[in-house]
Amino acid sequence: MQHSTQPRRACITGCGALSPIGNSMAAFWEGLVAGRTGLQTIRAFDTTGMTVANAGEVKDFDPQARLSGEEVQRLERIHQFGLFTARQALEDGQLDLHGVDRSRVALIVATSLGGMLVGEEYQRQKASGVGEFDMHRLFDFPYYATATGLARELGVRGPVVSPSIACASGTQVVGMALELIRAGHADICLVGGVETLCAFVVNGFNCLRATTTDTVRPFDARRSGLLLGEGAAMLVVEERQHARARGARTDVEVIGTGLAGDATHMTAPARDGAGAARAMRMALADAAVAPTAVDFVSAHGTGTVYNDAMEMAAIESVLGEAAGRIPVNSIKGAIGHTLAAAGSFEAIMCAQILRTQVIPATVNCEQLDPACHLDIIMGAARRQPVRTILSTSSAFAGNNAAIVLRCSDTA
Amino acid sequence: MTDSVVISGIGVISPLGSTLGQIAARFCAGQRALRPLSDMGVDSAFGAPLDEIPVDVIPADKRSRIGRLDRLCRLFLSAAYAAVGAAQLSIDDADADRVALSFGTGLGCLLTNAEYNQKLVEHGPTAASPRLFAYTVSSAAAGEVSIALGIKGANVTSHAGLAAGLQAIGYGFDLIRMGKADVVLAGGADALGAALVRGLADMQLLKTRAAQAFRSPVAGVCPAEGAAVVVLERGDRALRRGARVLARIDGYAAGFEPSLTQRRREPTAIAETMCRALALSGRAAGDVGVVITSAHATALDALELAALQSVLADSTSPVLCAPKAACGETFGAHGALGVALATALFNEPARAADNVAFGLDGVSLQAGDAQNRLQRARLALIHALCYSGPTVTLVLAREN
Repeated sequence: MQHSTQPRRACITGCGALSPIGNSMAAFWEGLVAGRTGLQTIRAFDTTGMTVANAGEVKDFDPQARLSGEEVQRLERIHQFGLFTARQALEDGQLDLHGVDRSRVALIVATSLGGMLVGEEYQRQKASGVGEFDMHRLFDFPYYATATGLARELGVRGPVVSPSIACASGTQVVGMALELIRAGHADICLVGGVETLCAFVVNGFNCLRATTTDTVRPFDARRSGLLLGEGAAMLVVEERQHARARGARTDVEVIGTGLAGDATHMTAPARDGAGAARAMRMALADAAVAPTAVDFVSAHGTGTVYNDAMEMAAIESVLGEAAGRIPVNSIKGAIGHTLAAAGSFEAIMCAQILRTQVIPATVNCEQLDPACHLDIIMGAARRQPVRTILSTSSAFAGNNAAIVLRCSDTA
Repeated sequence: MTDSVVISGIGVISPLGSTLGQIAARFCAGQRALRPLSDMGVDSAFGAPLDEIPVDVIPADKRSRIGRLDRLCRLFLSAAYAAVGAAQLSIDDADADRVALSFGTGLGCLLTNAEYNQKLVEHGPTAASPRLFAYTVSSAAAGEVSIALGIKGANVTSHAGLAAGLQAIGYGFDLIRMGKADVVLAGGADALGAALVRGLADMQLLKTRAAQAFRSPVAGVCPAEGAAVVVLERGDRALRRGARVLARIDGYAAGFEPSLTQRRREPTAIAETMCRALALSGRAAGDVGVVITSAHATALDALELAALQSVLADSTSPVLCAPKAACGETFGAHGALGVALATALFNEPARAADNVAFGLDGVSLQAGDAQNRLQRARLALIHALCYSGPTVTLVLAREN
């Protein structure tokens, strides 16, 4: 532990996004504000026999825009996604890792699927006996290979870890960056989530009957399920003094993080939202922010009946009487549920909201659930002052994560 | 920041046994748990599968779910119950949100993923199993433990390859130090099964002949399985409730050595991370009496040894232990099992045999010498190193 009279603070100094609505942070943000959706019929693999075959795929991905020909040839699709987006974030943060002490750089990359495309191909080849499979590719199969592969490409020498709390991981990694910086383990944390869509997971959510044949409608009275998405979202979270010393922007700060378990069910959220509420309260307490000071909530908002109902209850219980006055959105209607990357995409959106004071609307929410007493932003993006944001995610195994971001003061 | 973080209970399931006394005695006696893996579809390879995962530590009224759990969940659940039992810890609703879980696993739910996907490959989308799919997230094991024990605080599962278990214990240490939890069940586990062994065989990563740690590198692993979960607790809390303190964690650090998969490997980040762990703990390298190494008779042993020689140059007589020689490659469980072994060596008297411990030169110590050094040891370094780069060091102090 590093001891200092001043607590160490963490700022978001760079962002990168590769999403179903755009392959850069700017395009992602522009798509959110415009209310675009990237959900459509899956094209990347055969969907014959699947009950639901729509999802948010990354389109027109041109890895060579940021990767060398040799890297494109050598790296699996998931590593291409990760490296492509990490380089965006570093560029956005004007950060050259060769110019910093890389033993003070951490890499925290969440993924629920990792190299599953490799695993699928391996098992198909083994079962059919047709064709050849390069067994060396199996090194990219384990979950941790997504993080360690990226760390090798970037020459990172600090902590490298791939947290796995399923669909809440993308929020957790941002909170973990704050913790690593506070504890003195790192000055720079490159964090985010990476997922590549595959038949394995589409069939999984289909068999749970969690997907919809309609479209994703978070908090809508007609909502009937989720659709999956893919992509990568990476953020540079940096110790404030370190960022200032190199002239990086320090206008958005991560100030609190909370994690809590439902301890009730493996795949369904606690109906009363108690676990999600606990995580939100922990994050607010960690940030020393009163619920009444929250100006916007980025919800998990998957569009399933039970998740959204749980979240309505949780957000209401945390924000109390102010709940109806605080705007809330979900971006799952725009990009789908990107699993472990979801919370990181939402963190990038939150940073942009703090910088632009514009809140994107909840795509496809047209008839608000009468049971919802929250100010769900519908229709068009809204311009209003936002200084403090609460972002929340929930997941299988009863995991809940929340973070608090705010416009940084100048002190 | 909280002043001290102690270990008040340990649950262990390993090829060497399921109590601290067993693993200390068998390790010191030089016993090996490795056996042929012919029942997993490969000949001429060795590993250490568990004959059974003990479930008697799980209360009878909590065993109804065991039948639906995969092997990783069973390992974590059994080890967690054993740890809570050893710590005489009760978790009630009043403090459930101040109790956290931090688990690490190298391969996670690989076996369940393989089983679930095999059905898809053979029979198509209609064969997708909701029961199996629910366990295709690595956090399922921690979820099961949280449900069984009523734990409502942070619930984190981390992948860091073969360093995952130790990284998870380090993160648990941080959670308490930062005031995010009062108690953390932290540890690592990995499960062995035919799908994993076949994959390792396809990758030509199974050792096919005997090798000795630090001396005769042979590529590959002798795959094994196991779990260790420790109860981490604020020192003052443990004292107040009269818990037996087994050891104290003084610090940890995690790093990454990017050269490990390159032709020219270097120990730079391994040594940096060890130094950082010692610096953060406030302890001197000269105080280190025991090192639980990651050595598995591969080419990485030499790098680990070089890092230790540079970091511990001022230490007069550290004992280097290589538990993987006895129980195989336990993947993400290794570091957590290493914490259990070091704690056992601190607390359980055991006579050391020849060829179980090494000096800083990598040469085997004679039994008497090893025994004397181990008895004097007050501080341990636990080191976990993954072939793909992660390196974690934890500083563990004797408390009695």
